[in-house]
Amino acid sequence: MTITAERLEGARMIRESAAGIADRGDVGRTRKLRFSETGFDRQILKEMCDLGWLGLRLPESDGGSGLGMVEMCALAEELGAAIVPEPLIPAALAVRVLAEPERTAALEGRLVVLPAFQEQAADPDAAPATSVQQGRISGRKLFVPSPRGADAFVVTSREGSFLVRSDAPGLVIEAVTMQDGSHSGTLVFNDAPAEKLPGRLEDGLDDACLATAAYLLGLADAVLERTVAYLKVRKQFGAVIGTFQALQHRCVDLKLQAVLARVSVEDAARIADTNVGIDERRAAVSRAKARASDAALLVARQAVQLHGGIGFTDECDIGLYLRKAMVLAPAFGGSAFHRARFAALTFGDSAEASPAPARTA
Amino acid sequence: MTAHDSGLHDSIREEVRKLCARFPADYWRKLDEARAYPTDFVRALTEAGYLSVLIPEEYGGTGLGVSAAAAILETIQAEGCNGAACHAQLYIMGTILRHGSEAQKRRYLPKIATGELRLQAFGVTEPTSGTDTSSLRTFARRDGDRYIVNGQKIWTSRAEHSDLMLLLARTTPRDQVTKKTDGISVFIVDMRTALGNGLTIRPIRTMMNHSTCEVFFDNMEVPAENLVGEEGKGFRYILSGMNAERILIAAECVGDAKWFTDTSVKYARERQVFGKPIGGNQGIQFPIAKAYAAMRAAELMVHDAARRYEAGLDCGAEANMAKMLAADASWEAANVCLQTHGGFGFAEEYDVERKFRETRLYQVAPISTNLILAYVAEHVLGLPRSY
Repeated sequence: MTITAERLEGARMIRESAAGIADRGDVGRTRKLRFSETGFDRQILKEMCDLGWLGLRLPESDGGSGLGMVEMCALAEELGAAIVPEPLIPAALAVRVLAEPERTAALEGRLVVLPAFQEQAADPDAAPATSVQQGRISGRKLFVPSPRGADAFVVTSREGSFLVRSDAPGLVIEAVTMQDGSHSGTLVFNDAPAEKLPGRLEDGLDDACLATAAYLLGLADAVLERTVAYLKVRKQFGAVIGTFQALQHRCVDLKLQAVLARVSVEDAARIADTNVGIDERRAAVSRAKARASDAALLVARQAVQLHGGIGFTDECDIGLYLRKAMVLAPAFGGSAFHRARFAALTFGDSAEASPAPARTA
Repeated sequence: MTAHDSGLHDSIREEVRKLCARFPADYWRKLDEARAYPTDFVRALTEAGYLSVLIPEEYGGTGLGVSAAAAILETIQAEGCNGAACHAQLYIMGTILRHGSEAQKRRYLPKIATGELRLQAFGVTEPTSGTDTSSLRTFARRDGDRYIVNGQKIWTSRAEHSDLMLLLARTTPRDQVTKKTDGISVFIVDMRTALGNGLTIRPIRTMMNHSTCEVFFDNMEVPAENLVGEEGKGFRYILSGMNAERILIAAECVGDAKWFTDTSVKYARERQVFGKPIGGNQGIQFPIAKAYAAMRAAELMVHDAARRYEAGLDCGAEANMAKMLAADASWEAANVCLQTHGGFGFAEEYDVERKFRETRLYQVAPISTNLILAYVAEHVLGLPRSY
C-alpha cells in the first residue's frame, strides 16, 4: 500500500470528519462520562461506526473501508486530541477477527465487542495460557478496557481466538475504576461457553498499539496547545506569563518531545502500510509507542505545572488529559516494555533482557 | 567570592586570597599553553605553610584539620588558580602519619612539612586494573633487606614533580591469598634515587595542564625499611586516606563552582544584547541561579563530611557523596558559564574554557561518579553489589 497524494488527502478528510464527534476545544462530554457505568456513550460509538471508523482497516469485502495505518493514525490522533472515552481502538482490534453475523452487528454499532488478550502484567505479547476444551474456555485476562460496556469479548487462548458473551455463565468480571474515570477489568473464565473465530487477535495487536500511540500523540499536542493558550492570557506581575522566558523555554522543550513522538508515529504508520518484514514493522511500532507514551505523560504533567494552582483542581480540564495519559501510556505495553522490545528486535540477542526504567518527567 | 564564604576559617581564606592575587589569570594561561608546572605558585603555597596544615605540630606542621585544608583548596580554586598541582602534598602523607613507624614519621614528615621533600605522587592505578584496585599486577618481591619491584602505573599525577612516591604493589600473588584485598603492600619510593635505576617516568599530555604520567618499574629496588606498616595490609592503609582526598577534592570543586558563578554573573551583568544586560533574561539568570544552589548544597555536604572526619567518625559515605555532588555542581556551573559567555567563552583570554577543561576531570578522578553511586547503593542502602 503506497502513500499517495490521494491517500494523504483522504487522511485529511478523516481528520475533518472526526471534528464533529471529537471536539478538541470542548472536553465537557468526556468530563460528564467519567465514573459512569460504562464510562463511554454507546450512541456515540454507534455514530463512529456509522462513519465507518470501526471497520476502517477491514477489507471492503468484509464490510470495511480497506484503509491503512496512515488513515487509522490520523483518526486516532483526533480522538486523542479530544480525549474521547469511547473504546474505538480496542473495538477495532476485536472486529478484525469476528465472523458473521457478529461482524456486521459490530460494524453497525449494534454489538460492542472488546478484546481480552493480556495475561502477564509486564508483557502484553506473552503467549496465552488460557485454554479451550470442547467449546468451554478457562483462564484469566487482565486490563480489559471498559468491560461493563461490552456485549461480548474476543478472547485469546492456546487454541486460537474465541468469542465469549459478557453474560456467559462461568465468566466473572472484576472491574476497577481507573484514574480517567473509565474502568478496566480482570476477566475470569471458568468453563465459559466460547465460539471459535477464524482469525487470530494477536495479529492485530501492533496496529492497535500504534493507534494508541497516535491517540497519545494527539493528546500531547492538544494539551500543549491548551497550555500555550493559557500562558497567553494569564497575568502575573502585570505581564502575561507567556512572556517569561523560563516558561517559553519549557514549552519549547515540550514541543520538541511532541514533535519527536509525531515523526515516530508517522514513520511507523508508513512502515506499517509498506510491505516490510515483521520485525522492522514491530520495531517501528515500539519506537512510536515508547515515544508517544513518554511524550504524553511528560507534556500532560508539565501542563498541570504550567497552569499553576488551578491546574491541580478537578474543575480545570487540564487534569483530564493527564489522567487519560496515565491510563493509556501503559496500554499495549508502556515505554519501558517497548524500549526493550525495540532493542531486542533491532540489536538481537545481545540486547539487555530486562526493560530499562521508564523515562518520565 | 566573599559574599558566600562559609564563615569557616575566614582568616585563612583571606590570606590565601592575597597569595592567589599574585598569580593572576595570565600566569595560568601561559602555563596551560606550555603544559608547564606552576613551580612559583607551589613554592609560594609551601613557604606560606599551606601544604602542611594536616601534619601535626610535633612533626613540623600546623596541625589544623581537614576543614582548614578544604578552605585553603576551595579558595585557591575560587580565585581562579589551580591547586591540583600540589593538593596531594596535603594528604598523601596521611598514610605515613597513620600507619608508618615512628622512625618513618620522624624521617619524612618534618621535611614534607617544610616542602624540602615533596610527597605528591601516588602509584595506585594500573592500565589493566583501573578502579578494581585489588587486581593490580605490580609486584614487589622481598629479597633480603630490599624489595624488587616490577610493573607499571598510570595516571600517576605529578610524578615528575615529587621526590617520593607512595606505591601500592602486590607482595603475595592474588591466587595465594584468601581475600583479594590481602597481599597488597604500601611502600615509600624515593624517586630521586630510583629514577634511572629501574624507574622510568613518561608524561601523558592531556586536555588540561595536569602533569600526569605513566610510571614503569623494571627491577626497581626499594629498601625493606620503606615498607609502610605490615606487609600485605596496604589496601586498608590506602582506603583510610581516601576519605581525606575526596573531601579535599570536593572542596576544590566547590571553589571551582564559585569561580564559574562569579564569572558568569560578572559577564551577564555587563554584556548587553538587544539593549539590555543579558543577565536580565530568565534564560540566562535561571541556570546561573540553579548552579549556584547546587553548589551551596554540595558545600554543606563537604562541611558535613569534614566535620565527621575531624570528629574521627566514619565518613566514607559523606566523603564520597560530597565529592560526587561537588563535582556535579562545578561541572554544571562550568557549563552554564561557558553558555553564558557565548562565543567569548571559547576564547582563551576569558579563562572559562581552561577552567572548564580543568574541572571536568573531577567527574572521573579521583574516583568516578559511577563507583560512588555503586558505593552508596551497596554500603549505605544495602542493595546487592552491582559489579
